[in-house]
Amino acid sequence: MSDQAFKHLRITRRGVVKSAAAAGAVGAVASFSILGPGGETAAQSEVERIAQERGLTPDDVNAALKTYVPSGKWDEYLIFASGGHSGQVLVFGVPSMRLLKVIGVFTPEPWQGYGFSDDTKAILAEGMLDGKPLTWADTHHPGLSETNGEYDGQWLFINDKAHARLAVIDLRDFETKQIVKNPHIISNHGGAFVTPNTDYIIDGSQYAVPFGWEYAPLSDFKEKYRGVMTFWKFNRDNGRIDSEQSFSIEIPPYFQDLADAGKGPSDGWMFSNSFNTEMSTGGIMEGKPPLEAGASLHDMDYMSVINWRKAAEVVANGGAEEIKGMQMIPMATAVKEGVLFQVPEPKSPHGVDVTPDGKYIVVAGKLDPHVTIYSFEKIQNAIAAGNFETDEFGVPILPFDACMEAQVELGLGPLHTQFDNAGFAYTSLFLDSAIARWKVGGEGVEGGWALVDKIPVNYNVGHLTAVEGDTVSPQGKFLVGLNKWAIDRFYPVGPLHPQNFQLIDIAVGADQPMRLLYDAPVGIGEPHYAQTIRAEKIQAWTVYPEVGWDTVNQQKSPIAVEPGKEGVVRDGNKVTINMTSVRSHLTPDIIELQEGDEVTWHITNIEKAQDATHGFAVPGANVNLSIEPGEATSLSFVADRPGTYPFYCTEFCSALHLEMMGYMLVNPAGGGEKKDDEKKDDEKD
Amino acid sequence: MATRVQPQKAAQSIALPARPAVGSGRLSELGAITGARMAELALLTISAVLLLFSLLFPYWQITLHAPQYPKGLLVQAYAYKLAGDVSEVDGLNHYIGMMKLDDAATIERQIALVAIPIIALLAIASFALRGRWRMLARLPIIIFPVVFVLDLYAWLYYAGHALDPHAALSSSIKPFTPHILGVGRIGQFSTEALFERGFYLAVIAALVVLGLSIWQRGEGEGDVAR
Repeated sequence: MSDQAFKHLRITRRGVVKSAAAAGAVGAVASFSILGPGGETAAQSEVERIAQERGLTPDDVNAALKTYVPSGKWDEYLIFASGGHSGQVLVFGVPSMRLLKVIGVFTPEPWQGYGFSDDTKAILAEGMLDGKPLTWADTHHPGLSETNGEYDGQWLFINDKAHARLAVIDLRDFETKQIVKNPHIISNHGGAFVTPNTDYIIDGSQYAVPFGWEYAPLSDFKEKYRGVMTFWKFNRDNGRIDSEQSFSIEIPPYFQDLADAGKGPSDGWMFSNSFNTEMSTGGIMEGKPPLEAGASLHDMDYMSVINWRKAAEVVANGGAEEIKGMQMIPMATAVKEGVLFQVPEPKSPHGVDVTPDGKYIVVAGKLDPHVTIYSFEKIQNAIAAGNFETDEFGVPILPFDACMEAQVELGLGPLHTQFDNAGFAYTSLFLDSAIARWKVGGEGVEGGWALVDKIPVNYNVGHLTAVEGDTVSPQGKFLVGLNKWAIDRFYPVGPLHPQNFQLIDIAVGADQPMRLLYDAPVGIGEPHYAQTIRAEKIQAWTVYPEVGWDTVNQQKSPIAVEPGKEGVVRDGNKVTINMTSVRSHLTPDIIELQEGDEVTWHITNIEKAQDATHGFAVPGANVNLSIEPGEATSLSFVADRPGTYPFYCTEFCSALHLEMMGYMLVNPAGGGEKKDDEKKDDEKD
Repeated sequence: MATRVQPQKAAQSIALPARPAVGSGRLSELGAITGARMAELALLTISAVLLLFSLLFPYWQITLHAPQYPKGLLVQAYAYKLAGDVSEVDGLNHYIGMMKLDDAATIERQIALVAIPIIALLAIASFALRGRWRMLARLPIIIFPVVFVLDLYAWLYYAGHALDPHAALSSSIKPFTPHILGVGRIGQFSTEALFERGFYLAVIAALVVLGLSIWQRGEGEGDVAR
């Protein structure tokens, strides 16, 4: 290419050079003033001048220095956050809090072509409810796959509370590969939580319904409505949940809330707390208390304590029944086999979180200002002692005092707990709009089970995520509060406010308070839980391993189109188009169709260069694809309206991107053009 | 560099036993001849092996740098194949109507895997030949690096001049020859071309055989060979 070819670019380059020179001059002055004698004052005054101009306090400047990630440098940690009602997953960098990616999961995502290509349509179809497509989800809790209780950076799971579904995301390409619909329940909440080696993904019901959400009057609540704890078996070899090997456990119709898997000494067990042991069903119009009151009458609700390893054995030994096409351990069997126990907990708690050492279970009070800490050892002793009552469903209730290790009063509305690497726990306080740091106690710990520090947050904090803060080896350093309300934190953008992710410095140690560093607005859905992982643990592909890649099954695709083998194959009214895309043309670029043709369109992006993604849109077919370098994908539609349709590349790929188009001509049925078209086909043959 | 010293050293070790042999008794003369001949064979074999060994390495490479390719694009020319970001460079070249890299020097690359071993064998075979025939057998290994450079240059010239007039940017591109060595510029790309290990091995092989031939001529060894 000659210089003339890119004259306009050269002009731009000159402009860039000029401004770079100017920046360089400023930089030179700054560095001189740092290096030179008395320079410190000059540099300082420069910083001070900027700070003054922008109205920044010294704390602000410190926060800026701790969070700024220069161009070309990478964040140290990644946050995987639920996208809430968007049905997606959000990926942020820490400490910059830059949004890196939105992963389409339960919801079609046009930019990624997710839910538009045949293969991703099929994934969304796996999540259909009774054959009906769903185009939204209420994503709550992302769960990174674990090996020995540590994040391994390979897979990510997330639940859809609204429809009791679970999705599998492959972290090699950050794309969704599978959705499973829980056949037993219609809403979940206690998921996705993985067991320490990702053998199972826990998926606990939220609102009790009869199995398979069949009809039963509310008056039959005790008899027919049930809670369910589902254990989805994950097969690492093919990266898919295996429904055949998965099972559920029938539990009382209390509303199960959050869950967590045991680890270390408590490995093999899991914990799920509940509310509405009152079994209130509302009925405001009938003069009954609204559910919020009816579900809060008892002083105590119950934490479910489940021996999932034992449950798996029960299933393997034929102790389960097939209900709605999936294995289910009846409640009576679960009780008889020692799978299911309950421990009283202060009413209507929220989060249940196992300490990194696996010895304690922390239940956040929500309506109670304490976190209540249970000792796994004590629970085991109580089970072994065997002197327990049962609830009206015959499920054992272990004595509260025998299982409780400690209670720490933190403030109003404790919801969720995370841990750091210095022996502290962090609990969000929803009503106080604060995060509490408290010392985890236990054998040989001085001053344990005590509140240490509190930091106000803005506002109404729900979940919180510390770096690997729910694993066996938390990393400390940063914590993010996922605030439900932002109120005045950002420039008003209408009544629906962004959510507020607040980055907090927790590296300063117990002798220094936590410090607020940064507010990141989240304008996509309402994130619930999030997990933070050391970025280096994730080794995602920058391009697919081979040209002609099937991105769902992560292997060479049988429908990959090789350069030189493009063309159109007609079989009656079934038309198969084999197309390649490369900067800056689509081959073939003229497609002749007949009205009513059933079109299968295979496209392979034969590029190998990082970022050389081509989009592909056919107006009228409601299709946009994202075909990343090497990807082979397909779309299908019926050419039901005669007309002239320019198709084109939708991702600005090159200087000649606008020229990257072609025409799809749909001849009217019985039209004279048919002969021409057939002639063309003959020529091709 | 160390390998380049080798021929001189070897030449000395030939010279030393050879000198007292002149005008001496028959037995010692025979011994001297054998020593010199052994050294000659060794040098020819080393050269042949170096040339064969050169097949394992690229002969020439060009790196293209542009803002959107922070790691650059690399094309390496081996004696018999191209490696590196060939398809990416081809993709870019199509905008200016340049031929595909794989379509250049196809015959040369096809015959290289046969021709180079033959050149190496000829060099060794020259041990058994005399006079003009010997020189003829050695000529290919001596001139091979020069031929490679001329051929490469010819192809670069051709590729830069036989541009497809129907290419997207053909109206704004003048024919050019990519730099065979050093830094050049094509569009938004700066190019950096250099000769690589394979080429230098071939050069050493050529120099050794050339040095040997010159030394033998200087010694008037035509008599010795007889």
